[in-house]
Amino acid sequence: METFEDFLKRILSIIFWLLLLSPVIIFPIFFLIIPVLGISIPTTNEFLTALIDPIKGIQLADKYGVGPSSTFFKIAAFPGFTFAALMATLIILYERKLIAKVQLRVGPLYAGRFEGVLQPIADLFKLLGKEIIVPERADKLFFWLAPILSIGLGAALLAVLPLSPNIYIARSEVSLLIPFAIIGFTPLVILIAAWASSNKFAFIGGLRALHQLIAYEIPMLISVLGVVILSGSLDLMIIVESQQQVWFIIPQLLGAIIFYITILSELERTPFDIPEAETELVSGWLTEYTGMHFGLLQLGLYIKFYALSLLFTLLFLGGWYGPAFLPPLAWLLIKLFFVITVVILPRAVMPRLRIDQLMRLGWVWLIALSFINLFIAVIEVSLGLI
Amino acid sequence: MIYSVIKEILVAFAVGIRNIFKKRMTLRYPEVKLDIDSGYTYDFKTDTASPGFKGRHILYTDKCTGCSLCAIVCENIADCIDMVRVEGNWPINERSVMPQIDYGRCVFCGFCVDACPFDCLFMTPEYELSVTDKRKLVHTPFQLAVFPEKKGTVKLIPDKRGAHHA
Repeated sequence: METFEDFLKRILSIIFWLLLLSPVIIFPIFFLIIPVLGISIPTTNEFLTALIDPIKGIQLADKYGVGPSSTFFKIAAFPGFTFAALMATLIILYERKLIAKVQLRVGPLYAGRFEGVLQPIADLFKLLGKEIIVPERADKLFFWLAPILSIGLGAALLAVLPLSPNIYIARSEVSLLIPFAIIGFTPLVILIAAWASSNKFAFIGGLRALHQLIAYEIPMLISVLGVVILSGSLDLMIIVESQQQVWFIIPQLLGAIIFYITILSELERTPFDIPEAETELVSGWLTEYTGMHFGLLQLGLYIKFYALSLLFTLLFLGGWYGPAFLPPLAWLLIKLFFVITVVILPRAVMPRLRIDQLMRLGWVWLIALSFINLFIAVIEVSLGLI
Repeated sequence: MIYSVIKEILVAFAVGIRNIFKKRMTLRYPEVKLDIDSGYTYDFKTDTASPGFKGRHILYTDKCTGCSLCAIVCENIADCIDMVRVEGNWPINERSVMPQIDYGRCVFCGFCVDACPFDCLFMTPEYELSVTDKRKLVHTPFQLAVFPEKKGTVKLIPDKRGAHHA
């Protein structure tokens, strides 16, 4: 019987031989075509040294503007898309293991020697191997567009979220508003996916998601206004810096709880998972998506998960501040891990809300409570407590 | 009312977090197999049944008289026992008929064991009966006479809060 590890070995050996044989194809291009076009390229010697020696490789990448300090690297690798995608896959694995533990199961076990750590890679290969089925009556253009938009929106959230004083992609004076502006687009993507599928389950799920996301965006933004009043700025960097003395979860406990509930709702997680209620609608607005289409939609959702957890950490848990024996990034990741755990937990222990309960909670309770939270913030500032 | 709702949510969270640190009792089946002590037996003379696993039957061919009581009691339950003629010389079995069991139909109720007045049909802890050909599910008397080999590697140990494997 072929195990998953044998399969990985086979794939890796194919990649190895391709790399070994690639000079046969690549070098004629380098020596025949590029000199004609007049582009300066690294010599063979430089290129091969860079492949072996990482420091030389970084120098070479810097020379062509794709090194670790360049904007391109920040956007594409760290702390941008690749890092977020990696975190998203880790979240998927962690979620499956944690929910299994809570429900006294074992969870993924066989991929990888230890506790199924290679399960995300196995899932990826499974999704890549599946056929992409487009329904006959689907709106083809929008059906293909929805996964791309989903992953694009998820990644766009990362643009202004700093990971530590030095590690950020872009800095803006209103960097708190930008994630909310991007989250505002999510219902549109879901509606595109739902409508283009031309399936009744997908459409009902899409409409439910629309109701839910619009209802919960308002308390989300109002609950954050308390933090803005306390720190006096819309810049995430300054908001984090003003938490050096006391984290905002202490004066803004109510706001933090409301923000947490709205995160659950925005991510369509239990108890707010009525858009993809498995027992009623097959899989909600994801019903018609198969293979890597589905994988991209899920990856977009989990990147959004990562981004919103990061936002919670920055707004309420003091970002990268902590005792000095660990670097700032480590503190941030520890807090992020805690937030991710707390966001995952309800899925294991809670039942689903009914749609009228959901609407009542959103429009009546959370909006009222978030305004009360706003008054608390104003009182705290006027009394000079913070 | 709202306090009770909040309290219930917090209790759910607490139970969930407590469960994380509990020991699993999942048996990782193909690698680890459960070692079961005994199968279901029934003593006809004292009219007592012993608790045990209801798996594949075992037939003591030297005690069987071919009375067909097991087949008769099975008729209205699963109708899986047929009396078939076996070759050889059986002193107490004049007609040389013994039960043949079709495990595609058997529901493992154990009534045939209860019905046997000569203590020759019991059940064993063997449960790995799957085959790739459905004709192989029919076990002849000689197949039933084979004592099952021991495959189990771990035991089920009862404790205060249930059971665990070791």
